[in-house]
Amino acid sequence: MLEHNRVFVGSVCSNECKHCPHETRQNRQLSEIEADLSAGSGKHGVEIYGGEPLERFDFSRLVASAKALNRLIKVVTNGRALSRWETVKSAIEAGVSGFEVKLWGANQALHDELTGRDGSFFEAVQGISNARGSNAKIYLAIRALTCRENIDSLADIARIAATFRVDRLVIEPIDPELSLVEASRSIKLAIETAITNRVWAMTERMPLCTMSGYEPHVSEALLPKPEGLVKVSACGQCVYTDVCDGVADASAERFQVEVKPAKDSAFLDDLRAIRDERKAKSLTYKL
Amino acid sequence: MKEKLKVLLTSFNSCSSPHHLSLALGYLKAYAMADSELASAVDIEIADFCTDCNPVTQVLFYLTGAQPDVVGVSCYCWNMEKVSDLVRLAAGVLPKTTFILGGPEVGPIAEEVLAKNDNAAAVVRGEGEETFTECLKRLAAGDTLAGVAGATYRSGVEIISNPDRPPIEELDRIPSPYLSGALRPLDGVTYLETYRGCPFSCAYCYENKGLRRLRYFSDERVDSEIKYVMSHPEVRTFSFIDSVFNLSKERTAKLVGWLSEANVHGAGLHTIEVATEQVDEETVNLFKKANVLSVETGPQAVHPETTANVSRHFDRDKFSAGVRLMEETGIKVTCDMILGLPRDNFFRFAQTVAFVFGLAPAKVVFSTLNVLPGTALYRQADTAGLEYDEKPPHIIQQTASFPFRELRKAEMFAHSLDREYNMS
Repeated sequence: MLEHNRVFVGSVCSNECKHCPHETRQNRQLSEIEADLSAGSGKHGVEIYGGEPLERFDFSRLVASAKALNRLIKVVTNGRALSRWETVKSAIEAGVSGFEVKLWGANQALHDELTGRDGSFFEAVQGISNARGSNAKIYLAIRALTCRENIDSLADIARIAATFRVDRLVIEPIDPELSLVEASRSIKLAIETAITNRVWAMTERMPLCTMSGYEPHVSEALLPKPEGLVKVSACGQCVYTDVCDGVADASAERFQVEVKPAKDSAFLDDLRAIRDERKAKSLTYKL
Repeated sequence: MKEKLKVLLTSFNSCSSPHHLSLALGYLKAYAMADSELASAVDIEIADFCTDCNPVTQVLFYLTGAQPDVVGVSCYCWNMEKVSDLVRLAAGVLPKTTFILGGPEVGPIAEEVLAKNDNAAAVVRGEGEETFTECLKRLAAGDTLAGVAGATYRSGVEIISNPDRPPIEELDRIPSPYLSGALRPLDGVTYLETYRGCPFSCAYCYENKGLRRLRYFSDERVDSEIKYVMSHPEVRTFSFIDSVFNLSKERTAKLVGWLSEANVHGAGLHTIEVATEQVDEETVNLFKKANVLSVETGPQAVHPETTANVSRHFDRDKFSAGVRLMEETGIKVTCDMILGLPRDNFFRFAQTVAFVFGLAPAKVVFSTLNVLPGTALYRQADTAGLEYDEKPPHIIQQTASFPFRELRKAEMFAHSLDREYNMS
């Protein structure tokens, strides 16, 4: 429920992920990033994402600039650079307060196939292990990027999250061709696996109607609203219509066909109250 | 010459760095040693331990070395399990030692505590200074605790509760633990108290101990303690344990006057509890003058049904303004939130989180509700549908509105947020 200023550092990355949204590879100049850092309105901190922020040669300078303006600095990473202990150490010393490591699979074959890079799975897992074992007070999360190819292995990613006692598992469907309604079954199983092992799990970009019984795990019910979500016409019939932000733009067409609007909810008034609280405090951010 | 009674006062304090020291034990020693007759008959040592860092065996090892005749233990919800283990294990290795328990965890349920802890000889109920001193006098004279007001004791197989003892009206009768030398002012873990009680009556809290009024130490006493503590250059920060530091503007101004005058070494105040709704610009200026570095405050919960149900005063706008004022002037605010209050549920708790995070305080603290003996919630648990663990720390299991699984999920959610928010 933190409001971070999300700052994009460019699309250069050590992976070539099959579902990566970036078509070209170009890093942004440090001066451009610093301008974004200054212009940002993150109440609590900054989230640095790419591409792969940790592979930038000027990463320490970037963090120093971010630290001058922010209390919390979270880095979203493919985790490979964290497999080098020196990188973990220098990032934390520079002021990074948290890492969110992206996983595409719970095994080498699947993860490496989806990242397009041999060895990326082992490096990412070693990175998670290094970050957790650093003895530093840092926040560590796993972001399970979800697509048709890995939807059945989400529970295994949850097991990895449990093994390394990460602070949160974030499940984010990223494949426009993925059926959110069908995916919800695997996502719920992954959530159960995580919470049974006392790892908190949340979804992003999963509309409330698809997560019946798991509403507390829906980020958009609790967290700042990400841009890029849209409503489909069936949303008007859903009990959650005024407390749900809808689906990712790219998924809307498919979702319109399969959506089953929710008929009732025991939590509607409380969800509205949270939304009012967010509006009152302007808890929104740019995607 | 008759050998002196060896008394050891101990507690497992909550874990912190540096380790907390118990002010309560300092009061007990200072009060007892002010009695000249008793002072010549007893030696009192204070030994503080940490709940997280010191195993029971380590404490027992220390006790077997000290070989005390009497051990007084200060009991709280966070340490009672260890206290019970200590008392139980001591039966074998210190068979002649008398264990007397006191503190908020045992006072309200004294008979129950003695029934469960075979090797404990007595429980001091309520305010401990007078009762404990009288117990020591009896033990030093070889007498029983029959008739000692405020004590519940074991007599053979019987457990007997003597009549209650009224609270001490003139608090100055209790010597200052610092001025009397019972405690030494140390950096970060020196605590002062200017009054006892709490102006609020939150149903989950035992701070006011069922009394509706406040009792104060005299101005002279408070001023002297402040001057003494602040004359120690090594004490860089210290704190007040008053339930509300800014009780009224007039009183705050008076305290701040003494503090700023005595502050010859630039010491700061940390973690003072404040009523944030009462914090305005004038108050913040006073806090700055007193070099308040950090404060701790609610809101505990924000949903009107939840707060009303536990008699918790909460004014959204005033609270927000107070936090902003303090943070803007560099005073670090810690906001506390309680999970599992009756009438709350996962999303109402999330609403509290959204409210608090919207204020962006320096730190947040999440706690699961402890249904503490002596509180209104403890008394009303059955009728209010509260299911809690009878074993300390009396963690709430579920309520009518917050089922077990949802509550445990909320704990995981809170832990995750705690890790994310407090990692700077």
